[in-house]
Amino acid sequence: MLKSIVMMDLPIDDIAEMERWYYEAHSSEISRRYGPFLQRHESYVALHAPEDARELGFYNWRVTETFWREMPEPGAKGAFCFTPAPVWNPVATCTVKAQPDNDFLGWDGFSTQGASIRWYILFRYPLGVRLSEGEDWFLNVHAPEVCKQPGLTRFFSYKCEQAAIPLPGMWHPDATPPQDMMMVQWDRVVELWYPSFSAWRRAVIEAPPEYTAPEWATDDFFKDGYAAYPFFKPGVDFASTFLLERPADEFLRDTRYYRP
Amino acid sequence: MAVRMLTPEEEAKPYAKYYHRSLTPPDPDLIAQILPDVQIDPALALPPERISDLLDPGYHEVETGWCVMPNGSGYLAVHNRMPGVTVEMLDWWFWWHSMADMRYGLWYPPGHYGISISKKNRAKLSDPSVPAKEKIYGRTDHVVEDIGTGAEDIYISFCAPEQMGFEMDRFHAPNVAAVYGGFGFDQAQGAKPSDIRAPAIMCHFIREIDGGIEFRSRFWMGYKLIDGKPVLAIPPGESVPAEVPYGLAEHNVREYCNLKALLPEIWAEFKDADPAL
Repeated sequence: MLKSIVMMDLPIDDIAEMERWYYEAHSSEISRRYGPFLQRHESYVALHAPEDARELGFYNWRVTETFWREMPEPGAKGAFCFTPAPVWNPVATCTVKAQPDNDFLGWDGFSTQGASIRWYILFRYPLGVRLSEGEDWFLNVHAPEVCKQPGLTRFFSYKCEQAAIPLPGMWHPDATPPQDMMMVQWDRVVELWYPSFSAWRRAVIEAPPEYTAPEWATDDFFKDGYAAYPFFKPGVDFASTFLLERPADEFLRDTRYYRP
Repeated sequence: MAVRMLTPEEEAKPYAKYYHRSLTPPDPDLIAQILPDVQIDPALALPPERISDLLDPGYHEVETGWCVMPNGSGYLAVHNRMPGVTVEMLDWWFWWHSMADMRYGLWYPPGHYGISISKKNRAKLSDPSVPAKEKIYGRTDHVVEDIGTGAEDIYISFCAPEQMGFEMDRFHAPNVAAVYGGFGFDQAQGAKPSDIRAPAIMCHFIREIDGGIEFRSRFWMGYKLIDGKPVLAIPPGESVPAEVPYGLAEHNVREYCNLKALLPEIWAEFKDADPAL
């Protein structure tokens, strides 16, 4: 089973129009048309993150996670085009397996132990870094060091599918999301959980563990190298947001879909 | 396409004379097989999953040509023969040229503008105790190249043949003398973060022939190489623009025709020189 992830950012002035479109048109069209293929179709609203968190490629609006029992074929396939959004907004999107590939920290706890905020991250290795070399650093060097963050309660990660897996459906040829707002090439999704933003701040900003920088952080050969934690250039190779545990919407349960 | 002006420091290098030498004209038989409006039958293209078919004796039905495949990927093949060139020369060339912009430039001045490597790789290339093949496999080059579609940043990661999916029990003479290949990503210069990092798999398959060697080059555009296996990264309904495989095929003929004329001379003059010269 695959999970598609769509992380969205918005100028705040557009939020009213976009929320109306998202509920009335887009989520309805997805659920109505692709419900037979879907296991879950959920959306989380981004938390109001503090300023220092916003410097880390922060996406401020929503994350939609869609679990596909089977991926529908792309193309028209009997459906109308999607209703266009009133504005086009930056989107970071990828596809992962339904379950994480790596569970580094916290699996041996209990969900009753305390609520969490989730730092939800998409990253890719900078140009010039081989996937195998990046993965070696992330899995064998970086992840064990991240586990030492004070107050971190959960840490797991998904490998992004490297083959092209298109989402179903069609945008109208005259109303297609512009390519320069779509970030579609990612290598991993990471979730880091903390009890609060204060705990996040202490773990990430005030009292971080000692990290071993990757080669790309210190060699000018890598033009997008980034010398400080998280060692990925925010907004280029790193996008993140903060979510709660429970989705704001479970569209397959919560919505009556009325658009054909 | 423009030729980059050399800096005074570059002009002072002993190999600057090769940069200024007149280009060797491309092989007319090859150029005649690469036309902008003539694509080969995609059924005659070698799928990347069958890269080991190159180890079979003889030749494929299409050794030179290009096309856009039904799955949207780009394919090209070029068959360059290089009399007077040896595998030893190529082993040397495929690391020596990566150490300086002008070395990469003299290969084909109208389209080769710059090259860089990491500090770690520079140290390896500078170490005379490291065998040539070890200087090639595992290295990533960043080149600035124009194949006719504008200057691009291209990252080329060279791989050992087993990492490219070759059947290693058949990887020996006379089936093959060497392979220089791997995978890469390219972007137009000044690209935005959202711009696609276009992947490709590259294979220069070398066999020895009477008096020299032959290059049987293959490129699969739109494919990544993951754990030794090709992975198509083009969404259904999209495709590599035709001018890209055509442009690279034409460029490939021009750059290798120029190199085959220069390489024996450059190698003889600099093979024993300080790599940092």
